[in-house]
Amino acid sequence: MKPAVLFFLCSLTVGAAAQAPKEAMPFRLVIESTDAKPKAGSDIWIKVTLTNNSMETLDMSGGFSDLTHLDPNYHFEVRSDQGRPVPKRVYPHPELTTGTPINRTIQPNETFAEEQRISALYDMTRPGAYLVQVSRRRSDNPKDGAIKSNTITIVISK
Amino acid sequence: MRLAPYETRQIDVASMQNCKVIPPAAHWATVTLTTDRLPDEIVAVAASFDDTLKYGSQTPFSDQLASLWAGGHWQYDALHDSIITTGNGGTQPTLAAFTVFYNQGTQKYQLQQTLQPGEQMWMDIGKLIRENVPDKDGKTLPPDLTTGSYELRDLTNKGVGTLFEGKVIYDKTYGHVVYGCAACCGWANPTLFYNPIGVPFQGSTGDGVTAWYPCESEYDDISSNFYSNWTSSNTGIVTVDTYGTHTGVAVGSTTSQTHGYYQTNNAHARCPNLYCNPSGNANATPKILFGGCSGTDITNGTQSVVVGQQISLCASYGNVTVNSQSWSLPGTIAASYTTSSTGGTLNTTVNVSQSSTTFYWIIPALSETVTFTLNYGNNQTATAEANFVIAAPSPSTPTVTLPTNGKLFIDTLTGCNGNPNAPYLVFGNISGPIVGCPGSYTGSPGIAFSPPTTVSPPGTFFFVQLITEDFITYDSLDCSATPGLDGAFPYQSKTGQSVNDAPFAPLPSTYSSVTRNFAATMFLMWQSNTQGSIPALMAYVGWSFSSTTNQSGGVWSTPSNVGGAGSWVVPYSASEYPAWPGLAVPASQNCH
Repeated sequence: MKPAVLFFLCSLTVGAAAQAPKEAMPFRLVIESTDAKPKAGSDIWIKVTLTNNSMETLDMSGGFSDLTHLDPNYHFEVRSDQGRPVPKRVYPHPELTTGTPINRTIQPNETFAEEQRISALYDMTRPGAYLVQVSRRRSDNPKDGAIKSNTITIVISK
Repeated sequence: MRLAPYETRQIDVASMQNCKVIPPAAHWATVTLTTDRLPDEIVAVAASFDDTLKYGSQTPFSDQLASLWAGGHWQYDALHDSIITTGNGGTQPTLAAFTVFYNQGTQKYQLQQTLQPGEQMWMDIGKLIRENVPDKDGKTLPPDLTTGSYELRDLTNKGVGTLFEGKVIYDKTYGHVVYGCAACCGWANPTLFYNPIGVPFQGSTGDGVTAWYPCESEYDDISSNFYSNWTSSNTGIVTVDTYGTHTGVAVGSTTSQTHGYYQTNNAHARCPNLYCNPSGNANATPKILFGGCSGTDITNGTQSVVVGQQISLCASYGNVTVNSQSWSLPGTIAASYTTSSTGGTLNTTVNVSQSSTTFYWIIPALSETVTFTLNYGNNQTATAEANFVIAAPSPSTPTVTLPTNGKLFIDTLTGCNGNPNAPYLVFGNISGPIVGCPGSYTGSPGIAFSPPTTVSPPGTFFFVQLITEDFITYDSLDCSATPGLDGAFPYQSKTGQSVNDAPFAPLPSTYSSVTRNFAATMFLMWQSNTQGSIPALMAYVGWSFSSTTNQSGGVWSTPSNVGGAGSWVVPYSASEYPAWPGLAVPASQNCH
């Protein structure tokens, strides 16, 4: 009996190691700037590309703000080139922001790209270099944390 | 042999067989009599009688060759039979067609045979009927057929044929055998196919000679009689080969000509041959290439494209001194259509004054003819044309529905990230997250759009929505948005899918009255899979709602409802295409 038990345990170990990479990365986020030479005062757009690497459908639905039109499934982080947080924009009466409901799902192996106007959220009116990164919750369970994109540098000229 | 005036000389074929000059077993022969005298000065007759000289037959010699012989009445019954022959009097093999017409000419029976020089084909009408001999199409003559007409046609040689004919009719009623006659048929008024003929630069156009054929009331191609005689007056502009194929060497004008003989239609004069030398103008014209200057020559042709497809044309005309050049591009066209969430611009100014042009047809059309005009040299003008068919998906009209019949509702939406649930004025009746929160929605949107299911031509449907008005009043506070793109391009970043909308506005308890006036236009776009295509507008529809709700004691009243959609409009002009400076965003004086 002993040899048979040992063989079973080895099989379990190998199987868990093979599945680990897929569980670690259910989706991938890549961002890029859409304007090679943005100027101060203009809108700053980035393109966010999400690839669903999991075997399950990814829910990208939400209540989209008519003020910013940013996808509520993403968290946007913008810092100065020294790493200091960039202040968010202030709008009059944000409590009166209207919205649009959008139901959207991303199928396994599907790639979904959106243009996002991050200058609607952050004050990027000053010339300089800005570090931008986007993240999305890994799952509906907050304890699972978030998956971050690459970080890009956007240099805004006068 | 020499014949004295009015002398008759008899040649006994039977004795020639007995002497084995002709094989004894031979049962037919083609006899050719050649003389240097004028027609009708020698009359030859072939005759055959039995030993009693009571029964016999005779037939004259045919003294002309033709490409078509039209014969009249033939009979076949218990007392009659008709035997029809035709032979090749030429020096080359020819394909001969024998056609029997019956039932008042409504039906025909056809035999074809290649005849070597001197060979003949022999048609015994009675035998064809009795033995159910199939024709070239497998058809047989009806067994009760007794009369009809016929023709003999030279299928190889038109213009000047090589067939002679003969016919005998047996009539047992009186013990006679008589011969029949057919009439020759020729042509009149030979002319060139084209005058002038347009020849694309570095391209070829075939020309030929056509003539009126009165026997069948049609124009026939008699080009083969004029082969090998074609010439060009200026081979630096146009060359012509043996068969009349013209090739453009350089843009310009010259003449080309040919000569030859054709058989006239003067039956009384036995359809004599006549010489003619038709000529005409030959103009070497620019050629139009589709797909750029290394593309396909589409000059004078028809090209099928789809709406929104990139059309890149190049005019090629060789080494000439250009004074000016221009393209005439009919239909509704655009130079470019840039589309993204940051803006949408349709540029309709197409550069038409260069040898190349690139544009897009943005409205479908059954037929559009593009013309390139070149002014060169000493103020000479040359043009080239190409035809286009601009296709689009059909049907291309989407559907629009109002799931709540245009009604608005007060719905409590779900909060997130520490934000509480809150009431909203919704066009529709939904459940789901508040503004800025993720999560899906259930219920009924105020308006829903579905694209057509058409899959041909290959391409993708998607929607674009422009907000034309969004004005909300909270008590005395006015909030408004500048018109623009609603959210994203394409709408909701979706392609090939149905979409819907249920705009909602928050109802904070600090206000007692909220009124919203909203209007938008939804555009259905289609983009071809063809590389370089731009989105093409298929249809658009306007929709709107206007509603007011009032708060009393923390409860918002049932909203007043005025919401609805118009009918889909199919565009006919560029001005109907959606254009936007950017997203619809809060106005500078928002909520003041």
